[in-house]
This record gives sequence, structure tokens and C-alpha cells, in this order.
Amino acid sequence: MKPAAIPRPSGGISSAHAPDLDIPARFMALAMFGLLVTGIIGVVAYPLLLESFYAPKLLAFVHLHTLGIVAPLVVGASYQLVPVVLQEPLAAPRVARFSFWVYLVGVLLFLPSLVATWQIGLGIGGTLLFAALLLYAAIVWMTLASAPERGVIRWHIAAAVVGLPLGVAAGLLLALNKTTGFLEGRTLSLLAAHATLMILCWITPLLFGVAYRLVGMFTLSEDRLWHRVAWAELGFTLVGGWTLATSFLLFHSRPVFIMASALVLIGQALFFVQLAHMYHARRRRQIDVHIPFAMTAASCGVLAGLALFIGFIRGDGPAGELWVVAVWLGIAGMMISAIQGFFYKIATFLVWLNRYAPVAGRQKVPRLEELYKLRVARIGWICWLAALITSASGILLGVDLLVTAGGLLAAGGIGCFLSNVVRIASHWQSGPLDRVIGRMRRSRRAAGGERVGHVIASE
Amino acid sequence: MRLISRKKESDLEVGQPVTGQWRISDVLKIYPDLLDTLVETTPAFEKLRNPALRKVQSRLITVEQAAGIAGIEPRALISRLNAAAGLDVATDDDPDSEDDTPVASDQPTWLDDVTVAQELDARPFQERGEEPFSAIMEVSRQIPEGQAFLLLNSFEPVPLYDVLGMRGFEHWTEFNAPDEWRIWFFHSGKKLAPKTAGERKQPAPPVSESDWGSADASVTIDVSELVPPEPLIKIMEALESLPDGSSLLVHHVRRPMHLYPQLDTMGYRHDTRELAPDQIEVLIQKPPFAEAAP
Repeated sequence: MKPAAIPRPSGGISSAHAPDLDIPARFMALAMFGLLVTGIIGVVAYPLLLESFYAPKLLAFVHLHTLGIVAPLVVGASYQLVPVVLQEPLAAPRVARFSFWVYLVGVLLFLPSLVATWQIGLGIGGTLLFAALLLYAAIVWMTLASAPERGVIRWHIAAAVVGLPLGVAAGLLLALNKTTGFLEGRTLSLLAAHATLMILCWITPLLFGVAYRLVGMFTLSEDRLWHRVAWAELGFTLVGGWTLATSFLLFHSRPVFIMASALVLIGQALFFVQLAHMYHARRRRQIDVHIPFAMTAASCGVLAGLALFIGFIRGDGPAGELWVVAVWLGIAGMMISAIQGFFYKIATFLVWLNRYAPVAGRQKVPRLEELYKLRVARIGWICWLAALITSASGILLGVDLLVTAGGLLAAGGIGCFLSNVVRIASHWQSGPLDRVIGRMRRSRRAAGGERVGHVIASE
Repeated sequence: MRLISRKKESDLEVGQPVTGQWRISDVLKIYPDLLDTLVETTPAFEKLRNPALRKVQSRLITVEQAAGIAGIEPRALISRLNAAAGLDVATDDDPDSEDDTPVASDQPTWLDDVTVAQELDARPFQERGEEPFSAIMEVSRQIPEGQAFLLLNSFEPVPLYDVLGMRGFEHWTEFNAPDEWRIWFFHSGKKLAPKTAGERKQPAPPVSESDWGSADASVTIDVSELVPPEPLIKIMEALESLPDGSSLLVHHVRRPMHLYPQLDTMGYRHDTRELAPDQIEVLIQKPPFAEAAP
């Protein structure tokens, strides 16, 4: 029987319903700046990973990754992707723009204050970050509430929106504790709960849910998604994550820790299997640049889960090297790798949309792959992967030289990535940078070099 | 601007007789066994046994157009399909008395000495499960008046005749083999008038409602096997190729959120309907005159 048309709200979709490109772009620009800073200070900062959890500089370095790169990129990408994934216009785009400025002031105040242990800056910066992320959660929740999508991807996003405010609240309490010390002996427990909530109850479900849709879209494997496996992954990840966070705060029961970390590990393994299956079954056989990054991210997720599980089995304390490896692989390995991979799809598409969509069909327009250097992207991935391996090994073995080498390699990987970011950004609109690159390409082409990706003459 | 869509009087279901306006994809969805009947009718339909080709091609042609491809009267094909489906449908035609041979027509005079500027083989596109429409329109744009291009296709591309006719192309078709049709498109400059509602064989729909039937769309394309931003490019290319006043029906797996602003900017009316998860149709209508935004 022919399926009936599903009734939709009247009013239709017009320009007003499309995601505004400037909203994700500003967050992504901030994330790229954060990435640039980590690349520059990498060699000096990576050895901090061998220090104590309480070291202010290590806290600042970790938060440079989380608040300077991961959070702004995830927030920006969410503002762009959630409407697309859920096929529902973004609620309150003006508030989304406002949230950027709140976030920017907050992060610029918070991170230096963390290094300098400036109490007032930590309090104000933390409060502003808390407010900005709450606004973000509210916008996504409102978008979610009216979306027709009711599947597993929607629930991943919903779970992430629930996890975020609690994780940020825990972080704010930790920031305020720097001033008052009211947490006393519970500081480390709350810190562990904060990290768990942010990594496992916000970023992980959001990243996994969006990945299911994006990977399907960009490799023609949407219909290959194992929905039951996705549901199972979500269940294991959430139950494991929330149990861990609760146990950190309340029980401190070793069997509960072991059980919860086992659930987290199973969730990560299911995501890895799902991703591998989708890539294996993809109808677009070309190996896209995001694939190695995404598989690296999924592998790091499994290894982080494994480190956590082994750490609890061994009875290591929160300051143990397995914990540090688990957190590091979760943040740098899973999040930053996935961000780099999906950036090549999301940001490139946004730039393409802004510059070339208006002339598509009337002029020849470049393909997404022509907006950056594929070889540079691959070299960047190799450097980044090597950085992860050496830095994680260095943490586990306590070898300063290995961790420093990891910092060097990370700088190389980030350098490659950012050079492509600049190249992609040069397409945003015809400007001075665009003209310079255009001239360089034309002169190279005249000498028998590469194809020119730019189509619209800038002169 | 939007088209206000009219719901079909009833959804297609088993027991309903096949009509000339049904798409082949509808026929095969409701009566899967009719695939054998179609293949028996003409070897040109043998390719429908390939799932990938079936997905792309069966959506693009109606039963009426399929009859043209097979070289038989539409009513004869309709009768044959309904009979094979076990439906007792009253018809003026006797299926047994139909003449299945294509009607020969006089070769046009321009064919003798026309310069064939370009040749395009659409069959590799079809084998890859891709739509050759954009490539065909791209070639047609490069043909100067007084010259022609030769299209090689695995079936007779009946819907193309009107589309290219409205762009000033006459055609001549030769059947060489079941998977080789040769069609010469001569750029004479004599443009066919766009079809209007009054010229349709079906009753015109009420004013302010768009007919979601395939007959309403000048061209149908399927972009469900493309990754972003290729669907947007294909759709915009197809729209650019279409004459003013014609419409485009797009098959997609998701709502093309980023396409809508482009259509609104260009002044194209559009409407989207969701048939099922991962099954979206977008009907886009070009303004009858050049009223689109620059």
C-alpha cells in the first residue's frame, strides 16, 4: 500500500527556517582559535599530563581543550546540525547569537583565571559559561520539543541536553570552591563527577547521535544503521555514565564503579562496531577524509573505556595514570579527533553553502574536497594519531620525553588541520585572502599545477 | 512562496486499477508481479530487474510514457497490466488486437545533413544508478542553433521530448537494440509552448492546488543516492535547465533544508511532502515568466 503523506504543520519552510550560518561560524572560529593555542603551547603543555589533577596549569590545559575547542565547536555544530538532523528550525536564533558573546567573555575570563588561580575571574567566568551553556541547552531542548523526529538520534540529543546542565553546574561549584573551599574533602569526587557528566552524559551521546546521521548522510549508509544497536549503545552509555557520576558523589562503591565502567566500555564498543558496520556497508565507496578521524575517535573511546574499567578493577585512585589516560583519550582522542574529522564535512559544507550555493546550477561550483588539501588532511591525521599514541604511552609509562614528543606531533597535526581550515575559510567570501590564494593557484596552474577550486572571479 | 498541496483523492492500494498516470514505481510497489508483464511487453524493461536501476528509472516514468517507450498504445499497456493483475477493468481496447509495433513516421529533412555537434551516451550513468538529466541538459545548452546532438540511451526517453522541445529542440528516434536507442535532438529554435493545465488529459486541479501526480512535473529527478551538497547542485542545475513555467519533482531521502532558502531567493514555489521516513518528495515550480529574483 502506498504510504500516506504524513501531515506536517502548516506554514512550510522558508528562508526564515534555515539555520543561520553566522551562528555556527562564530563558535567554530572560536574553537579554531582554541586549537591554534593548543598547537602552539603543545610541546610545553603536554608534559603537564604527568602532573597532579590539582595542578592549576593542568586544569587550565584540559579546560583549554574542553571549553576552548570541544564545547564551542559542539555548540556551534549543534546550532547548525540539530535543525538539519531533526528537520526542525532552530528555536531562538537571536538567543543563540547572544549566547556566543556570553560564552566568549566567560571563556576568556575563566581560562586565564584558572592558570593564575584568580578567584573573582573564576567565579564570574564560570557563571558566564554556565549561563551560556544553559542558554544553549534551552535552545536545543526547544528545538527538540517541536521536532517531528522521534527516533534514536533524537534521544541521543535529548540525553545530551539533560546531561549538560548538571555537568556544568558541577563545574561551576568547583570553580566557586576555589574561592571558598566549601567542598573540603569532596573536591576530587565532584571533579570526577563533573568530568564524567561532561564526557559521558553530554558530549558522548551528542557526538554519537550526530555521527549516526552524518556518517549515514555523507557515505550513503543511512539505511544501514542498526537501530537496536544504537539504542543499546545509548542505554549502556547513559546508565554507565550516570551511575559513575552518582557513585562518585554518593556511594564510592568499588563494585558499582566496576559495573558502571563496564557498561561504559560496552557502549563505546557498540558505537565502534556500529561505525565500522556503516563504513563497511557504505554505498559511496570513496574513502572520505573524515573516516580515519572518526574511526580514531571511536577507537579512543573504546580504549578510554577500557582504561577506566581496568583502573577500577585494579583499585587505582583518581590520580592514577589510567584515569588520566582515560580522560585524555576521551577528550583529545575521542572528541578532538571526531571534531577534526567532522569539521572537514560540516564547516566545509557551511562555507560551500555560503559562497557557492547561490550560484549552483548557474556556474560550475567546486566539490567539497576541492576546498582543502586532501594530502595535508591525511598527513595531519597521521601526526595526530601518532600524537595520541605517544602521549598516552608517555602518561602510562611516566616518560616525559614521550609526552613531549606527543606534544610535538600534536602541533604538527593541528598545524596541518589549521592550514586546511584557513584554506576552507578563504572560500567564505571573496576577500583579500581569497584573492591571494586565487593568484597563487592560478600561477601554479599556469606552471602545470593543480586545478583551481575557486569559481567566482575575485577580481 | 509555496505551492499548496492537494492530497490525493485516495492512496494507491491493491485492487485499484492501473491508470496511465501511475508511475512505474507505483505499479511495481502495488503489484510487484507486474514486473514480468512489463519485461514481456518490451525487452527495454529488462533493466528493471536490476534493483538499482529500478529504483532510479521506475520513479521517472508513468505508465503512459512507458507505453511510448515500448512503442504501443498506452491503453493497450494499461489493459495488459490490469489483466495481469487480475483486475477486471472495462476498456474499449481489446488487448489481443493491439498493434505492438512502433508507428513509423517520416524521417525529418534536417536529419540528412545536420551537423552533430556532440554525442552523449547516457547508459553508463544509468548503469551507475545515476541520473543523466543534468548531463543531457548541459550538452543541450552547448548546441548552437542549426546543429544537433546525439543521445544514446537504454530506453526511449519520452519525457525529454517535451522538455527539450520547450527549449527549441526537435527530435528523431531510432531503435537499434533493446538497450540502444539513438535520439537526435536538432536545435531548430522552434520552441514548444509549455503545457498548461487546460491541455492536460486529466481534469485540471482546483486553482491554488498543485497536482502531486507525476504528470504535473515536467521532469522528475532522484537525488536520494547523492551526498551533500550534490543534491542541491543537481536540483539547481535541473531547474536552470527547465523552461519557465515548468515544474520539477525531486525524490529525496530527507528534507533539503538548505535548498529552501535558495528556492525562496530565486522566486520558485515549492512544496514538500513526506511519504515515509527516508522518502521525501519536493515539487518545485518555476515562475511562468522571468520573475525570479536576480
